[in-house]
Amino acid sequence: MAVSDTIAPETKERAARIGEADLVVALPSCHSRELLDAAVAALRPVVQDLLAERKVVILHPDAAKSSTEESNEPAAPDALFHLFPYAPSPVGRYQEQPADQGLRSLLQVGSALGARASVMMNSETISSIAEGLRALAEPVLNQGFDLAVPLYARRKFDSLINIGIVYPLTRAVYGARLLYPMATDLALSAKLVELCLQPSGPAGQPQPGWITTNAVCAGMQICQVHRGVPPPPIVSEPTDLSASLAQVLSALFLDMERNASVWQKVRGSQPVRTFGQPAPVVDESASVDVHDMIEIFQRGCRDLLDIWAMALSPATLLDLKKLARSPVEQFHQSDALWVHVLYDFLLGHRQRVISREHLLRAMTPIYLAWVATYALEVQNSSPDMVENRIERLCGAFEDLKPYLLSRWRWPDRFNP
Amino acid sequence: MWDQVQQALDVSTTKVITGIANLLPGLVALILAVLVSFLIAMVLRFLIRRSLIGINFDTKLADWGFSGLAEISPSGSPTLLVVRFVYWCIILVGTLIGIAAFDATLTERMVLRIFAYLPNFVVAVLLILFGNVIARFLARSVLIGAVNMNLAYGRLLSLGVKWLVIVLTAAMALEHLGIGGRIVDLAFAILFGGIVLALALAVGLGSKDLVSRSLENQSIQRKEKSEEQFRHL
Repeated sequence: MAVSDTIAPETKERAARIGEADLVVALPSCHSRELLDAAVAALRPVVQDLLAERKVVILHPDAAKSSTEESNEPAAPDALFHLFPYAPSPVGRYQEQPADQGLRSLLQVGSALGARASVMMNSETISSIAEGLRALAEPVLNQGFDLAVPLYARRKFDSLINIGIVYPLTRAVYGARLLYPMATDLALSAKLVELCLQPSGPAGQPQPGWITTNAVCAGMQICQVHRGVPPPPIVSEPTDLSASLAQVLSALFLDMERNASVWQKVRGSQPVRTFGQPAPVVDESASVDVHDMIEIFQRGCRDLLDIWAMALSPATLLDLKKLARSPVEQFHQSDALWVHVLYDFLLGHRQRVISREHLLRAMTPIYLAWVATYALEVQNSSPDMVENRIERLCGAFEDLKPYLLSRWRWPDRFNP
Repeated sequence: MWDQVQQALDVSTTKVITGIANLLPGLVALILAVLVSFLIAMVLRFLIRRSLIGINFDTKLADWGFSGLAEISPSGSPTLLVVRFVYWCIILVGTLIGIAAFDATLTERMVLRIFAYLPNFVVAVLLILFGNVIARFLARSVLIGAVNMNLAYGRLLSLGVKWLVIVLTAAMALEHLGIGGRIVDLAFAILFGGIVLALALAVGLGSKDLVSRSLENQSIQRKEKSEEQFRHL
């Protein structure tokens, strides 16, 4: 099955009417007419500056019809600027998130139009969207990079799942120091778009998994672009932490299973080329209350020990029991212990020791113990000290990778 | 007269000896059938076990999404479950063949009754099996959810859910087997109704303050949590 077969016929038809384009920009969060008009107005000068006389296509959800489109006038006052509404697929309407629908459409339209760069702008606000597009598209359009992702200024208590799990784990496993592997704002080259649309199974589904890790595994040119403080999530953060954690871990672990043949050969990690100036980070010193987190961990240690024992090694389990007995003032989960826990859960997930959903949700108390330890350690630290702290954690993940490798390759030799 | 007594004794002795002589081949056949089936069962058990271990059956079953089966299997191994099932089936068939050697009509009637009852038995076994798997799954879900929500009685809640499902499936299974008749229905209705009534009374009367305080705390906690300083995603 060819790449073109994975593109919906109606998308091909519409793309044929437009012909070719140099840049395709997806705006999945512009779900109202006002938002779309404001975004188009903000993007116009940047696009003209970046591409001069080349065609640009703006993808948006079909609910956000432009006022100009409704009055049967051209979508944009010049022939170089096209609006391209996309409708969610019958399945996607109920299952996919708006960002996933936007990304799928972006890949299909970008491929059909042969765009040099396809940019996903999911979390930028109207005020920052123009600068965001310039920053992300420029390395792909003019410097030959295949993927540009934002590098947000780190706040010590933001994106804790990323700081404690996703970044250090992907860095240790794939060997690329990509600080936000889960970023939903991305700029992709035509080559990467084609790679993402390569049919991966007999039914011809596009490549699953994260674009960032797929690009790293394919040896593509990747860069990061400094983008200030991360924007607040467009969809409010789910209140159920264990559901969010399970969702992220599931995607991460499945990605690792798919790419196992690649990452097993990787040793150490390399920095990723970074553009722009880092935004100044506010020094936030505040005392934190971690009693609830520690209490949940202690409760987990009492009630979930049987479930943990299915995945964790006896030594790790013993360390967790000791940790649960330590008083709040001396509460400290070592990096090595946290890394062992994560690697053991990854292997348990792979071996399906119990229902995967249960296994991942059961990790919440141990994750909270890590958050409590981290919060107690960095509550009065400067941004540089926080960076050092995270660097130490990443070092522990890299140092213990041989443990993961040996258990991944020979799971039967060690059965906890 | 003595002649008549002797004749009666001779007749009865002949009858008993003839009876024993008639019974003996059947008995030998029964013992032989059981022994042969035992031998076949042993050989098949060995072969099936070796084959299943060879193809890594337990891991493959977990990969196909049947990890719950390991929990109800002896020593947590579905291979052992399959092996034991096959073993006992062969022993059962051997015993039936042995009984058939005694009296064909008796066995025929017995086999007919057994086969008529078999669907009910299979359904009951399946009910128990699925009920067990569902009970364990739900109990674990409740336990993990309760711990993550920092509820004090997570284990108790989980145990309650587990036994509720097991009792429900056991009642259904007994009904399918036709054991207990209406007593099972009645007992189950009384038990289930009693639990619901007790919970309603606890919430409505005894624990009114506790529940209202708990709900109040939960809403305050949620409000606080939305404003707290940690962002996980």
